[in-house]
Amino acid sequence: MPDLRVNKNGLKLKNPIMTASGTYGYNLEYEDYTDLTLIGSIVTKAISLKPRLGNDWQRIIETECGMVNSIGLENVGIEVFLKEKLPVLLEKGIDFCVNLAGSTFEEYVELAQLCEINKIGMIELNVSCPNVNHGCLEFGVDDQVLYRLVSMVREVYSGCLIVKLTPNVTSIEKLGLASQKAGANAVSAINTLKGLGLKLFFENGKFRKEQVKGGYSGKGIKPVALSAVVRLKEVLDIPIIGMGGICCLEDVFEFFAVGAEAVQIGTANFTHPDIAGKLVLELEDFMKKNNFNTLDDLKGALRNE
Amino acid sequence: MKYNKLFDSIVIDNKPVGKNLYLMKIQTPDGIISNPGQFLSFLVPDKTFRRPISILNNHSGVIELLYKIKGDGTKYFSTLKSGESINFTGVHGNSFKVGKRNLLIGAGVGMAPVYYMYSMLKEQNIPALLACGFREEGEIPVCFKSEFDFISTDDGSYSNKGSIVNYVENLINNFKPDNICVCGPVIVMKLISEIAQRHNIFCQVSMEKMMACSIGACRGCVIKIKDNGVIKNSAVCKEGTVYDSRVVFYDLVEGGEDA
Repeated sequence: MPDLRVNKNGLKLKNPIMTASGTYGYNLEYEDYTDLTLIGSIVTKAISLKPRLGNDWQRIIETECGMVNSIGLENVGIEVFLKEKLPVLLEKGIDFCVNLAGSTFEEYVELAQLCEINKIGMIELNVSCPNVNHGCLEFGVDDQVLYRLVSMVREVYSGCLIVKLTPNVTSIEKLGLASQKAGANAVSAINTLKGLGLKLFFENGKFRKEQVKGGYSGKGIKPVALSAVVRLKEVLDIPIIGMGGICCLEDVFEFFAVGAEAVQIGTANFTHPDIAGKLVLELEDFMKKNNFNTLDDLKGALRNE
Repeated sequence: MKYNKLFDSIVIDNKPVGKNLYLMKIQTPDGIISNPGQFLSFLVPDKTFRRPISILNNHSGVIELLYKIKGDGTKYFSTLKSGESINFTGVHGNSFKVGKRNLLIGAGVGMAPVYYMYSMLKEQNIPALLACGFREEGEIPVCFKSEFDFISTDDGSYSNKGSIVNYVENLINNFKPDNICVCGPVIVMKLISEIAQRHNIFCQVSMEKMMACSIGACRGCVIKIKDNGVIKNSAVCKEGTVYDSRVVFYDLVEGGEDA
């Protein structure tokens, strides 16, 4: 059996296939489609201190190569998460990471403290959601602000701390470096791109439009994501979790080739709800058939090309 | 069977039954049980979103689906031939509650779930009346024309002239339902909901929304509803598609149906 484990700088996963925040619910949403215990780590929907209703309809629209969403961080809040969602994850033996979204420094710290108290082993800071008016993105676009935020969270949280970076900046490298300097165990990249999905209909002599302004994700963003990972890899020592448009094993390999240690599957979960578990099995199968004993062997082969 | 919601099925039949309207029959995978109001989500090659289609009937090993060509997804479905494979997830969503006397109202392709309800109630000998409205005669699926108890067309090209909404009052007075089920454009459901409330009759509406995941995870199809005076979110794919007609904010949910 090949060894699929990832173990770098405190980022410990049984395999490198994770699911991206916002696409996989909180715990058992996909249990009718795949074995959730197969997945390296399920990243929960972003959790805030208080529950959020999110944005009004229309929240999603399909584009040529993906979708634009403006969910607006709808979530149950940390209290309900800890009470109702967390016990199910633990009981079912599902590996998970909790994505946290705050609107002030103090909120992030409080959220991280609650995760520390509840012995949650891995958190991902959402500092890059494009769909809310305050918070989140504001923390993710300025390297000094981000450094301060990650440092404050680092002080209260001892588990694996991941910072999810936005591509909607001039230099993603600076933000990666700020996260690293502040003590993050890893960065994940990329969150959605700012996008506008627009559809025009000409009906009964009049134009009607449907549009969603928000985060663009799916197949179309893969080249942007690969470029972000490459640039981060050039400056960072901490591991990078790559994501953006991954739909198949070849896509996973591409992210490994440019330096990602693990990957997250996002929008593809909507199209193929069984894909995350399937990719784990396909990766294992590929390594077995082609004599790659460890993930580093495989990554090494991909990176030497 | 543990992972029992993702299927590759075979198209048995797929033919036009009206203007831009198709009836597709697919093989029912073993063990699929469905109820009126529920839907399946179909994969379309190279598309990110699956297309939700309401179940028209499910019996003797065949699931029937009625769909109207509205966009790329439904256009693709119309090209499928017998013997071809089609991938879907489901069964999704909740279903209509049954009353003692059921007035079932469909507008356009929205007739699918109420027709399903009608066939089920008929089998169980529960009183039901099927009343459907269409824009014109060409939009009435030919194969079902004789099965409706009441038909109206906006342009008067077939049977009663005018919107189905104009006839609801009369249908209520004659049939005396204690339960009304409606599926159709948002405005039709809104107006019928108001009529039902005036008559103090329980009314259910089936909402249609663009969906990304169909399973309640992405929160993309979420609408706001009133729950005991509190405004809360509801994912149409999971907590819907059927709602008590009084809880929906009709003015906030237009659009997102042309897939």
